Amino acid sequence: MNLSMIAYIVGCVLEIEAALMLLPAGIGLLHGEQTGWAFLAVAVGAALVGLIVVLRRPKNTSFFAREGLVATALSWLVMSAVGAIPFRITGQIPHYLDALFEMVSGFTTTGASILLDVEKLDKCMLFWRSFSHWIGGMGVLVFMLAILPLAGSSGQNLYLMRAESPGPTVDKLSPKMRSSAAWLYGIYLGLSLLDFTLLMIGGMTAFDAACLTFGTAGTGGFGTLGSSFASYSMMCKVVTTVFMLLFGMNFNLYYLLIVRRFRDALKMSEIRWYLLVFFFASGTILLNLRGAGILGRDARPIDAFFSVSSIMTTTGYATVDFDRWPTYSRMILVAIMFSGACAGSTGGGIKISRFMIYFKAVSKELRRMADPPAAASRSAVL
Amino acid sequence: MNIIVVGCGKVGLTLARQLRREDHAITIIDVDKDRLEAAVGAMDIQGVLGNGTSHRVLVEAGVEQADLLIAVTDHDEQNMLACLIAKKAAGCQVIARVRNPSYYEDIDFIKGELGLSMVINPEWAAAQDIYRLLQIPSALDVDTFDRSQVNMLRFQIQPESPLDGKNMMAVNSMLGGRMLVCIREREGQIVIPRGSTELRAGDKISVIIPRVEIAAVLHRLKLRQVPIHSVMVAGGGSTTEYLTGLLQRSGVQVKILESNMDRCQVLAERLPKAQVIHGDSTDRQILQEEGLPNAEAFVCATGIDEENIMLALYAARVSGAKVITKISRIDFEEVVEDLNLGSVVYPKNITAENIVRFVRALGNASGNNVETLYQLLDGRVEAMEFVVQPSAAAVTGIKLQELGLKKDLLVCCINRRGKIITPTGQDTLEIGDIVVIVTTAKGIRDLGDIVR
Repeated sequence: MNLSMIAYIVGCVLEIEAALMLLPAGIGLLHGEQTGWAFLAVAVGAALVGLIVVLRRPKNTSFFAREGLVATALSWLVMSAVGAIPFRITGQIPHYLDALFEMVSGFTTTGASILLDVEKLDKCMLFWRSFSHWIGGMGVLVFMLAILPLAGSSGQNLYLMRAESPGPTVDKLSPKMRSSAAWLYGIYLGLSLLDFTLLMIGGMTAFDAACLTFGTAGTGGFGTLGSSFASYSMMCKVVTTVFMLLFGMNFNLYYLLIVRRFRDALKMSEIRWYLLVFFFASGTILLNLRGAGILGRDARPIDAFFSVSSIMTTTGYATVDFDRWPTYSRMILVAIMFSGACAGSTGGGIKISRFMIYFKAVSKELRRMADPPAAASRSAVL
Repeated sequence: MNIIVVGCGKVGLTLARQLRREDHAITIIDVDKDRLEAAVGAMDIQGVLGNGTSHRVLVEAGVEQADLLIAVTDHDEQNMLACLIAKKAAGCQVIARVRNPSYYEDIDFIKGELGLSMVINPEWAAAQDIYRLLQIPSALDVDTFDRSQVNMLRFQIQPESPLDGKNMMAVNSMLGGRMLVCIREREGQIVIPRGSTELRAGDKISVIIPRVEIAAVLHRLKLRQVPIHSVMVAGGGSTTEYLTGLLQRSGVQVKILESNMDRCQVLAERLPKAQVIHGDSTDRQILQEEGLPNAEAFVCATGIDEENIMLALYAARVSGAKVITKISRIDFEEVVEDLNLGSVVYPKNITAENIVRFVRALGNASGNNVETLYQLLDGRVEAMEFVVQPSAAAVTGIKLQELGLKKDLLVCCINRRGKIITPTGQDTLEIGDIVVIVTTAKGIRDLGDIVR
């Protein structure tokens, strides 16, 4: 195992995190919050430590799957540990372990929180919490691949991408790793900006729009209000429903659309299944809610769509308390939480593509039972 | 530049690696999933699974955006078909590997009709390389610069050599400027020499010598220059067939050892003047019987690298013959170098050099293209030939010592209207000159790149 190369990568990650921390520091100073200085201090510290590691560029840059896994895991641990420090030193979250929980939840885009009342936090703290979703959504290592000439022309950095990306297989969008990573981040950034603009038009403040965009893009779910999404305008709910859904799609789709390979884009069966599951789940919940007499009284149609989109992509925003819905609706929500979003997206869960493989294997098995001599291609499963 | 390589074999991989090193975007097509995955895991390239002669697969690999397609599968027919489809469908430049001697005879016709930019034939290239080495047996390597009429020779300095213990200035005055030392290798370290660099027995040096002076210089250096009259070749593959043809044209006797009877028959029919022996070339008794101990030159060109290496070591032990070894796999180049086999020929590298040169010229708009390119010593040094065009005004008419040349870059030779100048700091480059440059700096595409 090439430890010095792993250390080098973690060092680079620290540098990037230090740079990213300047953003909440700026937000804090903009709102006149003293806690903003904490970010600046931690950023400087992290940058210095990172610099010491990075300056010793390892001679042996060979790098394989094992190193990729370790470097990725370690990077996230280090990022969370460092990211939690500002909460602790400002006393906004008094215990370091609680702060660490919050940061791990943020970077992994889980969205679980130890905070009972998020509105008591300073703006810059809230911003950093949400921003961690955005960083975690696409992955900081992919970002690194896009900007750093890491291992030059060797294919070894594919191991980093594989270790960080969700889904059963990882393919590059274009022959060069660097441009693939740049494409991914470009798409991510573009969609986020669009979401942010539409939320602003929907009547949110810039701060709320930014934080909620981060939560949507990373499919994380940290909000800025205790009531999550209930108090926002209809337009904001619709926009967020759509964007949660969009961020849960395989990013290859956007690449194919941008390079105008529409036929290939239409052929992406995972996307078709994903949309099918979404509309089936929303439709059946709507019917169920209407049957139970909840629709129109405690919930509106948008709430059903919003909840399905939010749960399916494991974002976790809520407009209503769906725990009070009938059992059938709740079972559907649990089921789609498992199925999750598409591979190659920021969404969580087991991923639609894995279920597709599973169903295809089952149907092939059934066909074989009905007609044993039928020859099936080995790759028919995929 | 976007480049598609069809065929993920040894040549395909070598090409992909070399071209990726030059920072091009490479997509490789192959029908073998495992081979493809291994290649994509080892390099930053994209793989497409499928048959490279299928239009759909080529489109999936992005042939419409490609600048160049190189077809190097094992089958000549597939290579030509892939090139033809790519040419017709997307109009990109195409290069095919054609190695079957019966196609290669009509290669100019095929090239013209199919619109191929270039045809590569590693076996033919290797045969030419071996042929050159047999003409100058005391050299470890011979590279030719045809435009400037100079050769680059690589020697090991022997203990009794007059070069032992001399520095560059002394060497120059001894040889009257007819030879320029451009690379010195010592214990794996490569130096582009300056005036004070010293030579010592055991060093390997590469020198540039005008072709007409080679005999005189070799004489002064007390190196063997007896021409070779007979050659023994182990293995009867395509390389051997090409080589025998070349050698016979200059009247050299060739004896071929081949273990496959059918192949022996074919060779005997095609090369009536050669002596084809049916027998296992790794059999000591047959080697003795056929006179290896007294052979003038021995070429190890069987299809198996390990066998070639064993044969070369054995031949060096039992005879005083000039030994040349053909090695197909380039993965262990440095280990092979350590074995001190003498002259080693890598068909894959020769081919890759030609393609890299072609690609560099393709990506260069100014017209001061690399005419000839050699990647020496595992790609750590490059030797290049340029013709100075009017567009290179930035480097012409200025004394070399005032030009601010790149570090570790040497202008080795200037051919000015047929007269060969071994340049000093006082010389200038002029339009119409043909210059040879040796450097450890990477990626020089244009004559303008030689200055800092």
